[in-house]
Amino acid sequence: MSWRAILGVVALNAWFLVVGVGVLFALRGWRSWGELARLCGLAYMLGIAATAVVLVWALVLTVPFSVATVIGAGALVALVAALAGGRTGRRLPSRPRPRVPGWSLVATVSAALVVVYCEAQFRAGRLASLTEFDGWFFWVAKARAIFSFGDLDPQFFRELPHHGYPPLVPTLEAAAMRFMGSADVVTLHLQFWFLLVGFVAALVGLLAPRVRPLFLWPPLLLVLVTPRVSGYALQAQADFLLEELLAVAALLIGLWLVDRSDWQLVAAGIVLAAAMLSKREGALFGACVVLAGLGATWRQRRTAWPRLVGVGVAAAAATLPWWILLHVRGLGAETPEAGGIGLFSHLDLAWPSLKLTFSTLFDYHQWLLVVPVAALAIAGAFVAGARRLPSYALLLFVFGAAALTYTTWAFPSIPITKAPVNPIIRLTGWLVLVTPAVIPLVLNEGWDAE
Amino acid sequence: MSRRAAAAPLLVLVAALAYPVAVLSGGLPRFPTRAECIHPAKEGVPLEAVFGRFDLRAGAEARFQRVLAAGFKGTKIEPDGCGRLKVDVAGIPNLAVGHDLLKEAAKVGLTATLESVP
Repeated sequence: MSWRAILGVVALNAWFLVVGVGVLFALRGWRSWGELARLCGLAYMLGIAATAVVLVWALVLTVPFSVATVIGAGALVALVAALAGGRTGRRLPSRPRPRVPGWSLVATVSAALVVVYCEAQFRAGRLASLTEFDGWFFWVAKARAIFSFGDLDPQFFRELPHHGYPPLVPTLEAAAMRFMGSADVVTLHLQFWFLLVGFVAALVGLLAPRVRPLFLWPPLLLVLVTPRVSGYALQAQADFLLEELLAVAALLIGLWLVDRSDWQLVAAGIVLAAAMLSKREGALFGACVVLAGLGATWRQRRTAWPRLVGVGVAAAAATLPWWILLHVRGLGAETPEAGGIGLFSHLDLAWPSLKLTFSTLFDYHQWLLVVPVAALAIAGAFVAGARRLPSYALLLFVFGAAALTYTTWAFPSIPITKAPVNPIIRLTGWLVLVTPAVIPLVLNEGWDAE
Repeated sequence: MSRRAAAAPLLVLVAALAYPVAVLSGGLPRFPTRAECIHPAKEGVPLEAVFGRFDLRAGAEARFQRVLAAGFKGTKIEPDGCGRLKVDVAGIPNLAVGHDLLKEAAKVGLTATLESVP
């Protein structure tokens, strides 16, 4: 808890942004410096995703973990990106010319509210204590081990609970600790503040030029003020990072459905890889995003499906080093207790699990009216005659709800309850965070179709 | 740049500045220190004798062994709530007993402080 620790976190996240700008240059470049400023949120999310994935690979390969490793991993990503961008003949735009885009009243007032909200979150996060159970039980414990030992210490990671959970979040937390200069578990919450701000900035940057302000800002504000997001988004555990990454990936694939620009799929692949290395559920929910894309492109499956499947396969392949390490160390992957055909031995749990999913998604005390609003928006867009994006959003929610049901059904030892012993409330957050990412596109398409 | 176009980002900037200005008008941000995990001893509350605080387990372990060897049974290593480990003897009923314990410790070359248990 000091200025030095805060500056350390700021420096780390500035580095992620720099790396992400390099990745963005390779993927699509920018026509003006104003466009780059607008896409800084996306660049940050790409930078953190790409750097963190490389850091996990480095840990698997027993590269000692230090500030130099974090900088080196980012530099490697930026170098590869710059070379790739250079090979495609991308050039930087000429000198910046000050130009302020026209802002509507809705955009202006909403942006002011979001900025003040983020400032208030910063104030809360600066002195937040590490009270979240999973946070101190194993997420931050793993981070402290990486910080202290400089590697994935075999004995420590064998004896710690949930050794099979992917290590991206502890790696990120350990990087923050290195930059802070100590295992400061209080200031660590600011790392998650940067992720929340990056997520919001990515959504706004990608959507602002494409959708009407009235479709973009109210869903975003609604999600930000839900009790769950406003109270728990800065927790030092993996849930919100996973959900933010999934929502950005879902948005990028949604944009690809409209634009068919390959850079959007590559960016989605990078973000999905990080999501899959964040939590076990990352693979399941990531598959839902890809499947929704496949469903929405049924009529163009010959051209679209190989690309979408390629995104999913590439993202999953990025997690292979971690699973290989677990195998080499003789550690289990902590797969579901009743996964696969085991589900049929617990058919009695199917209906209660589904009911729990829906009662949580529609729980006003957790998520306000986010999911009902999303459902109405999808229905309204269908009625207006839109098909492509409402279908995508509908499939996202259907597959997402099925996946959430599976997370309860496949663990018979976990009580079917909203109590913290069952992670269902935390997990439903992914569909809630998908809402401000995808629903604005759905509403816009519905409006244009009418 | 038209006046109207400039007004929108200006409004956001004003909102962005208003919040921190309002917060900082009450003084600069306070950073709690590790000293705030040390609670001075007072009568009427549970007390403990603390034989040192350590950043590393090894340091705490060495002090723990030394205190134990000096005959202070019930010595423990515990987190102090501020990211450090403390070597302490808890269960001291009052200040008088506590001061006697500190004198005993001093006789064998150990320094301890009497603190309230939070």
